[in-house]
Amino acid sequence: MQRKLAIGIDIGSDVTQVSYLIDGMTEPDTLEEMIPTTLKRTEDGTWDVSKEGIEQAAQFIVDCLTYIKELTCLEEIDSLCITYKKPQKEFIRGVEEMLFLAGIQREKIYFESHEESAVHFALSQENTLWQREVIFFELSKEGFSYRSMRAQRAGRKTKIFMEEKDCSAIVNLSLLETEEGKKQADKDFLTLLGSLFGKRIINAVYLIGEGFFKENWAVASLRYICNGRRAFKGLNLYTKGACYKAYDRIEKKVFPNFLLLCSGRLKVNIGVKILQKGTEYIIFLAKAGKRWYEETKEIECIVDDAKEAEFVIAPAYEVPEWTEKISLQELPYRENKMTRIRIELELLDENTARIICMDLGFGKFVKESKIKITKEILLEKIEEVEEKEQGGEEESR
Amino acid sequence: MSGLLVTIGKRGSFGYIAQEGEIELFSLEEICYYLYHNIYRITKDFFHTELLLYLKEELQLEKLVGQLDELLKTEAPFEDLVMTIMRYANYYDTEELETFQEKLFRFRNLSKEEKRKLMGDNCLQEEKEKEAIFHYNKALNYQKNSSMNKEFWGKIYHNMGVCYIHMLFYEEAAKHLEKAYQILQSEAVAKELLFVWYLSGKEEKYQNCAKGFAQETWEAWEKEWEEKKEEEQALEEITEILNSYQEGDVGQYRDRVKNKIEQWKQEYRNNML
Repeated sequence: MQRKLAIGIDIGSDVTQVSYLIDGMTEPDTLEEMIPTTLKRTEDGTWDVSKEGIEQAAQFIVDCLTYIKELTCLEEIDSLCITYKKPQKEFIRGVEEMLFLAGIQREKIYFESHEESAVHFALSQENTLWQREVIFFELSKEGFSYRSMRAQRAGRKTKIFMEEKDCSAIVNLSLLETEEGKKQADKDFLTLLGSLFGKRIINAVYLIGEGFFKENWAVASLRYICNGRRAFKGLNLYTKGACYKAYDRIEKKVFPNFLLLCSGRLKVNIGVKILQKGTEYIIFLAKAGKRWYEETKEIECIVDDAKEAEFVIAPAYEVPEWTEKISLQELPYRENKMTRIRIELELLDENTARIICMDLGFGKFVKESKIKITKEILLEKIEEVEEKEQGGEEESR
Repeated sequence: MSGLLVTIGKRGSFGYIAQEGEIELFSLEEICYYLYHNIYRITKDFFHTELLLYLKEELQLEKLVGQLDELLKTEAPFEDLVMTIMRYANYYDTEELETFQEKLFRFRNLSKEEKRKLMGDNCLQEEKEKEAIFHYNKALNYQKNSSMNKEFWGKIYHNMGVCYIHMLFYEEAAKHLEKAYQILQSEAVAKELLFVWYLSGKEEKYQNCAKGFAQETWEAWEKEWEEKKEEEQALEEITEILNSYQEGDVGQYRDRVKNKIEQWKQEYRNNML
């Protein structure tokens, strides 16, 4: 039987790391080479998505793959997962196309965020290391971040909730340049740990990034972390996480059983209310846990005396669902059931959806108008949260 | 209950040409609409292999085609084929389907001449006068051996007269309305007959016909027709304005509505003086 080869590439802002996994290996092997990242960036720090930028990125990925001695040609790759900080729709589409032209089949290419790779790494460990809560601290040039990963059983699937906080104001790399700064950083980190951990049951703590390797500054903090918890330091967590994901895509064994609710993933289900034989149903246009940049859906409906289209936003976490309505009054006045509309859903980011209702007329019976009704919907209830917070303050007074 | 009805199957990139090029149908919902409104004119031939192929290949309704195929193999009645399509779609609700089915089964039990009359009536309603006359003539062919009463035939003549009025063939219209009047002896038919001569502008024939009625009666009718003419002209203008909105020309629609309202306001002011 032919061996299966899965590859994970972590494109960091400075260096890129490559891991691979072949049948029979218990965990991914990370290449020693730290390849300098030479991708073009725009002013806002995101990857350049111009034709030139995309071509350069694809070529860079192909160059990275040549470091794997076991790989003789690109067609041998069974699964490739590329991870980087924040996935961009245009970048993914462009690079995927170029890699396809280079000889890697589209369905074998996968992109994910660092956060998703961290989850995939954690979930690939024995379950005693993740079944309650896992914490990730990352200290690098880009700042100091805290991520909490909580697992919650929900029927056949396990929901994975991620929460992220930027703690760069508390500890940063420049603080570690002096002895005094190191002591201060250790003290502040310890205080932060106390406030974050409290009495929570935490299975594992991962310390990622050069900040935890450069200097031995977190003495007291590490002692606190290791007290009753298992802690790991690593520089290659993302590339390994991506590699685990790539391997799991071949076998489809583990990760399909998890519903990831982290950055880059949709946190809500979006449905539209429809009528079928007189009974009201909801058709889901997008589902929680799916990557927002891959979600587009369209359905067609007949307007049966309806003045509006009603959409249901149902969060995957403990927040009640709510409805959003789009008025159809702008559509031309016609005999009932003589208007067919196309409803298109497009995600602009993980918290914003755009819905377009387009008049299609009714075949040769009624000519279509060019009317399009567009509405952007916010997928989180900010106002209500603020109201609750204000209410809470009043109560405490 | 109001809402959005989710459509079943795809919308065709090209249409299915129904009943000898009469109309192109692009979706299952349009097929249902067509069946619902033309059921008296459609025969089993409608369920041609080409329709099944279109449903399968273009609208991707394999399951429905499977069901229709089975029915055709077992030579199931026409009504079963129609209802299979109607029930598969999500276009008409249960109540509408029940009424439609009743209508369909009632039609099955009618005599040949009754069926033809219904087919003609349906065409007339759809403003397909030529086709309606064809069906009425077919019905008249059965008159000799028919058990239908006189009134039935009178109604056919009347409806044929109406068809000819719509087609502006006033002589033919008058001929059929006269026959209808002889049988039905109805004042409404007589009024229509007089109306035909009024429209045709044939003064002598109009006067001859009017002699049969009291002067005040036909004078009142004349007044009514004049008013109707004005109303129709106004209605035509409103329909034109609404059409511009339906065609998506909202700018033109708004301008014309504004002008019309201005005109009404002016007319009102003039009346007040």
